[in-house]
Amino acid sequence: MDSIIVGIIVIAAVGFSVRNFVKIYKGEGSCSCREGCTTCSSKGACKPDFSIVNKK
Amino acid sequence: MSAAIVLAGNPNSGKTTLFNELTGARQHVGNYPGVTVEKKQGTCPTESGKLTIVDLPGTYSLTAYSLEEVVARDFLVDENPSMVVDIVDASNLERNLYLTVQFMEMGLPVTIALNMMDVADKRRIKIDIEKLSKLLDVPVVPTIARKGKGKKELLTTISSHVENKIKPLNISYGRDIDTALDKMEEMIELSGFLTAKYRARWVAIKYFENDSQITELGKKADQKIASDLERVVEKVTDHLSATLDTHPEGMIADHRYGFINSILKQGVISYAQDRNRQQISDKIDRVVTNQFLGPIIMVAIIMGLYKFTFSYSEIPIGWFESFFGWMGGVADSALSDGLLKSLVISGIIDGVGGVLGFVPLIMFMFLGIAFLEDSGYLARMAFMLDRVFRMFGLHGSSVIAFIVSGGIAGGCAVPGVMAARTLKSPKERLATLLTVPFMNCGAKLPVFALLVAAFFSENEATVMLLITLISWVGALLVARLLRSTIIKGEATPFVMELPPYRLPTIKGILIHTWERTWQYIQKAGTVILGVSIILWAMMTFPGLDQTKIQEFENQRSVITSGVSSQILDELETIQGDQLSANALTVKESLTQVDFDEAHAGLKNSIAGRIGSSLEGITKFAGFDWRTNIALVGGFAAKEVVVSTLGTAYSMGEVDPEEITSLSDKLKAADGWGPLTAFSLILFTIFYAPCFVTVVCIAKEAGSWKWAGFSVVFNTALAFGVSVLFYQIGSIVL
Repeated sequence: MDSIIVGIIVIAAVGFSVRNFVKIYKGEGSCSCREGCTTCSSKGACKPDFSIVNKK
Repeated sequence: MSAAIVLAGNPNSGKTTLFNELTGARQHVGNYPGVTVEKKQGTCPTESGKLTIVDLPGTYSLTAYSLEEVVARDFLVDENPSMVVDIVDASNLERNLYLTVQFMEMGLPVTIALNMMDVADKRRIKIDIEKLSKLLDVPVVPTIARKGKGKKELLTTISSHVENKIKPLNISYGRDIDTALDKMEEMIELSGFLTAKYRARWVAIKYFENDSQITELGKKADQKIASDLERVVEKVTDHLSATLDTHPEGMIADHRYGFINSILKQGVISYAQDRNRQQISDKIDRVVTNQFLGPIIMVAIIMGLYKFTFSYSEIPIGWFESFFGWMGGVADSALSDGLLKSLVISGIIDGVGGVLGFVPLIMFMFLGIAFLEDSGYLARMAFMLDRVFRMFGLHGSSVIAFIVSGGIAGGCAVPGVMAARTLKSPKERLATLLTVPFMNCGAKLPVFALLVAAFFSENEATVMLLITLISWVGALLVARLLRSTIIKGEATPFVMELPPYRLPTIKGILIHTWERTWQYIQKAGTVILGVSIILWAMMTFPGLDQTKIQEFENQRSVITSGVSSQILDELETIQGDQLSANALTVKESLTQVDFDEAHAGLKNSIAGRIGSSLEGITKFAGFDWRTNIALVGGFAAKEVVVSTLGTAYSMGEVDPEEITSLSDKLKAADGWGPLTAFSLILFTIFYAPCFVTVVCIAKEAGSWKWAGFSVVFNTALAFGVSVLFYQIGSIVL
């Protein structure tokens, strides 16, 4: 019974991690910097947290 | 009524605050221009219907100079919003109206939200709102978004003007350009050149501004007309250059400012005090950014931050360790020996718990950094480091990317990599992309905290400051190396205007701190948990074969065979500290066999074999096979280094009831000492970025080649630095 439960947990962890890496690869996954941030600029990129005005 | 309203304006004009105020959202306020390039959307119910509100990235103009300008402009053109609410900083009216004028030139319906009226009042700037509205011929509503003032009036104004048709603004740019513009406008209109999307005159102006996006679109639409337009522009450019020593882009900007000034000087704005008088921020800056005092103050502030973090987090970290220890004890007594118990205790509680144990430290670090950010001090750091950066072939904007990536500690390389896109020079951008991962991101923080707490507990803040300095010096030297070899190129100028100092609000600081701490907890509970379980499985299977297990059984039998039944009974019934001397000797022998078996099982596992195969090389840096497993796992996310060490040292543990923290386990483990710990710290600073950052580098650099370079180069560098340190340290110490 132990082995079955552990097997299920490990398979779930592998599935979750692979899915997570694929999403990151596609630019959809979060880098966990912010709520809902992604690694893709067009899909809601991360933003840093302080203000500087850059005058051209 | 259901209308789409766009919030636009200069960066730091209070746009996001107003967006939050109108939509009830909780977007993070205060960003760096050029990085928040996404648009955010929300809804706002009004008496006359629902408004869809889109918050565009902050921009200074609508050229195609930067990505955020392109995003903002494309949205305005493609979506054709019912109204542009232009958030104008009342304390910087002239500069902010530059963007307003461009909206009006595009023919967009504009309402000005004259924000930060309190700041203008404080600076004794008086603005005649009615006159401004009349002269610009657009509605103007005074607001203080931070306090929610003017929200109702703004919504009423939007509702009453939303359907209004407006006449595009045509500014005179001087006779030479005006004549050419008329001619170009006619050519564009007659041929229908890009007119499906843009106003003809606006397209002509963009040709004069040498707008890369429009000229590219023009070439695709009609090569002949595009060439004709370029010829007209070239002719005027040559003429202006010869007669006035200027160029059309500069002339256009000058005339826009001239138009703005002609309005402001009609009694719209008045200053009750000398405009050149120093504000409080300027006075503080004279000391804080002083050439000599500035760096000393900066180091002192960082040191203070680390002292604050380590001092205040020590006790709550102890609580967390006790909590996870208690959980381990509960799991130990509730579960029977076997795989599930091992997974729960070694894989989850000791693995993920090791990462979660640092939540208080992360929280205090974020609290301190949030204070520095919100006060405006981080901007001063960027300002002071700008000159240093240029010496190393980087750009002023690179400083922002470095700080965002964890320049002080606790950032993230992903937004740092994103921040590099504000750099216009591709070579400076690439050099920045490749060096920001050396900063001490929030994920590296638990690794440093673990090792510093275990081996440098007397000088935690000093060692942390040293780690920060090493990462900065390393990053700058690598940047210099790259800029002198594979990515050579000229440096580009950078001008920076500092925001005023602000006293951070408690609410703001707490929100920032909680948001980041919560992200850390979430990451530990998702990504780190998943990877920890996989690594536990890799450290468990295939385990020992039957022959090996039998060998250990035989060893146990040998120990117990010569022992009297009385001692065996004692071992089964009496607690460790109450055992007789003979029973204690037997117990120690059996414990050693258990330890050897667990150790052999771990070493024979998939991860153990990988770790052992690397040991031949990594031993020169002082790393054993368990550290190797942790470092390989750290490629998924750097926190995994901690969770893997937690699991690896938990699985080698013989008595699960003997619960100690990972720091204590490392201190007691063979092969560990300050030298090994600092070698591992150096390796962690410099080695391959995490998977997410690598993907991000590939996307931003536009090539997997550079992402691969980052992995290989950084790891080789990290190894070289660690070996050098460890070998020299072994001789010296």
